Amino acid sequence: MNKSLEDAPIIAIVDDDASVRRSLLRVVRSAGYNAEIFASAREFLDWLPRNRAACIVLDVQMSEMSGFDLQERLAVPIIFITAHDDAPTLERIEKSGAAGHLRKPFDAPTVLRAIRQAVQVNHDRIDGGPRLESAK
Amino acid sequence: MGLAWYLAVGVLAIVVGAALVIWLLLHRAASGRAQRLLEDRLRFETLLADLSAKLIHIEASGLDAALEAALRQMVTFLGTDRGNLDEYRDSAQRVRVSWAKPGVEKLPSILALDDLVWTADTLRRGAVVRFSRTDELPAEAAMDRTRYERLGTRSHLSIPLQAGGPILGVLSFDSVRSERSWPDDLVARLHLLSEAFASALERKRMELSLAERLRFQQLLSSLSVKLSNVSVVTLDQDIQGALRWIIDFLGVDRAVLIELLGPSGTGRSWTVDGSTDLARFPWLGRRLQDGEVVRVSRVEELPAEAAEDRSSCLALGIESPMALPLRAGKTVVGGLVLGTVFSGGACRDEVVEQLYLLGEVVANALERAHAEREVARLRQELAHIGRVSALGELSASLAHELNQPLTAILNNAHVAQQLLEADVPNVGELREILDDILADDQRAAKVISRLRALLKKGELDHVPLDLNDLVAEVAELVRNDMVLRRVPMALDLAPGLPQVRGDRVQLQQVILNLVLNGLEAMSEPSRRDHALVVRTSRAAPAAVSVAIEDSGNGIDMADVDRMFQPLYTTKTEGLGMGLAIARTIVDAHGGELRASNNPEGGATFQFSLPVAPEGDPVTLDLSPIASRGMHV
Repeated sequence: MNKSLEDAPIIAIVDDDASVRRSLLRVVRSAGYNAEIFASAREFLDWLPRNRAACIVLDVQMSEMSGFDLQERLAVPIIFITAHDDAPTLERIEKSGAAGHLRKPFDAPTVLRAIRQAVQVNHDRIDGGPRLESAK
Repeated sequence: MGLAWYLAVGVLAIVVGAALVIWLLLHRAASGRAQRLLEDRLRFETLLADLSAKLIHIEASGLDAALEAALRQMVTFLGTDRGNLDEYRDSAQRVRVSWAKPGVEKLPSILALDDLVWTADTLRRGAVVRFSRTDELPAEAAMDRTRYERLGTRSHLSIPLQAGGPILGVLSFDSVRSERSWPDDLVARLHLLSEAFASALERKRMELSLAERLRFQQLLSSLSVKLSNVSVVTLDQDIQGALRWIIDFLGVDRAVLIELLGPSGTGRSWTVDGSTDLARFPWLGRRLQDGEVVRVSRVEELPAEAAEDRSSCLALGIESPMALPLRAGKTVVGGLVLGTVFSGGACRDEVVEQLYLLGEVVANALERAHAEREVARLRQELAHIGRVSALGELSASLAHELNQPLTAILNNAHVAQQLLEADVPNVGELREILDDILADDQRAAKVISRLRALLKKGELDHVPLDLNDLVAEVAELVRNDMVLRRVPMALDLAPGLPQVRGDRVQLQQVILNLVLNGLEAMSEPSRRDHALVVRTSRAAPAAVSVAIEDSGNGIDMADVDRMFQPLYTTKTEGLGMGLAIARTIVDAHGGELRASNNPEGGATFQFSLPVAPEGDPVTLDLSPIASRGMHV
């Protein structure tokens, strides 16, 4: 992992809850990552063309466009976060091929562990993975 | 011969003349007596006609004065000293009117018959009692004689008054100053006069009894009306009013209503001044439970085991209690304890009967209020279950609401810990983090207190409420659920709505149930243009309404009545109680809940509530629930 902040991979945090967003930003930054926060999928999509994210921490239940809807458009490793799970949501997450799934409430070590793993997998995939169009 | 003839003729003439004179004299004497007799007779006939006319045309209210005037005329006519008209009532002889010549004492108003047993027996048989001197009284009338002598009576005549039935009273005359006789023809004539008195008394008695009966009928029907609408909320007031009426009607000084709760003992008790839990009647309660009527002439006579009852009576100022059970059907549900019932006489059977009737009305009201309380309790229980189940349906969204701040807190706390480990902690950032943690704490606490408010089980409130506030609070509660279900919710709240009165939690529950109902109507995932609108408006003329409009498939109007029945559901989940509970709550608030289909599709559930009158507390009428017969 690169310790220089400019080169450090950007972790995108997409959650419509301001409070959660801000706390995750602090956690991720304190662990030495670059991080960007977005209040909606739309905001993230606006940002995406000029940037690249190493991993997205993505809230599933958002108004307008859900985490699932966003995921369909991306090839970045995604860590889904959910505030509650019903059976269909769980099933969908399982089938989504997401890098991780965290249930709220989760603590900082949990999310950091998931991010580390996702970034690592992503890194491995970049070497030989055909799937990641937008992360090139 | 000539002389002898003359002499003979002269003697004859003298004899004839003398005879003529004698005859004439005799004739004059006889006709004077006859005339006196005739005049006497005429005077009596005049008196009879006069008195009869006076007594017949007199109003019941003026009867006593008329009787006294009649007595005076008779005493004067007879040349005696005192005349009395006695009435027999409630086995005591009551002197209704007594008139005496100046200087002669009137009779006291109540005569104890104990001293005049022989006289009373004789009169009851319909016979006249008369004596010129007290020693004419037979040996068995020794006590009567003493009594007469004590009253100063030297000669006496008593004529029983009857008008076809039992003895109504006695018309009597006393001679105090001298002895006198009561000849048969006088008695016979007085008998004639006594009939005028008897019919006047009888008429008065019937009028009184009719008036009393009418008054009782009136009381009974007023009481029935007053108590037929009794509700838990107005029970105390209504019972106090009923007790006041009963007191006025019976002329008693105190009345206490006690509630009997099965064999376990007495419940609450009421006096005209209000309800009291302090006055307890455990002993009386047990006797009443057994259906007994308890009468005690002095409260001190209550047995030792009734010590508590005794002190309750004394505390309430009841000195000679009479208690009778109040029955609703066959069950004794309460008791009526009355203070001094009838001064100077025993309680008539007729009155006891009336009391039982009154008691039944009161008992039914008590029973109904009791049942209503039970229904209200069940309804509250049901509403609570309804809220729990509604919250169950909302659990996903509630979990969401709680988990957001918790996540933020956990993560912020972690970062703060890390910051503290630094040699020089970044105080600025730490402060920011702490502020965030505090804010999230409060956010979580709000969710929990909202939950707690909905889950609380308690007495119904009855406070002024702004329906717009209630709608906004419910909207906040379901906001996440709407997001999860991807149904936008629009609030269209009319500004400046007047307040309604009611229970905040229950009315929120109505709105919540209707919103959830609307959401469920739009649960098929195929359509994406669903929307829920909650609208408040002023409804004519003094009501406020809340309408919840969905864009689902609408409702089958044939089922619209069944829809509000408990356990009716078209869903696979849920108890089917939501709408039923909503309707009972709206009913209990004096409002109305209706369902209709929208012209553009979907359904609208709308309830209206009466505007709270300024300064006038609205009563929470629980009776519609009872009469609706909710199968809870």
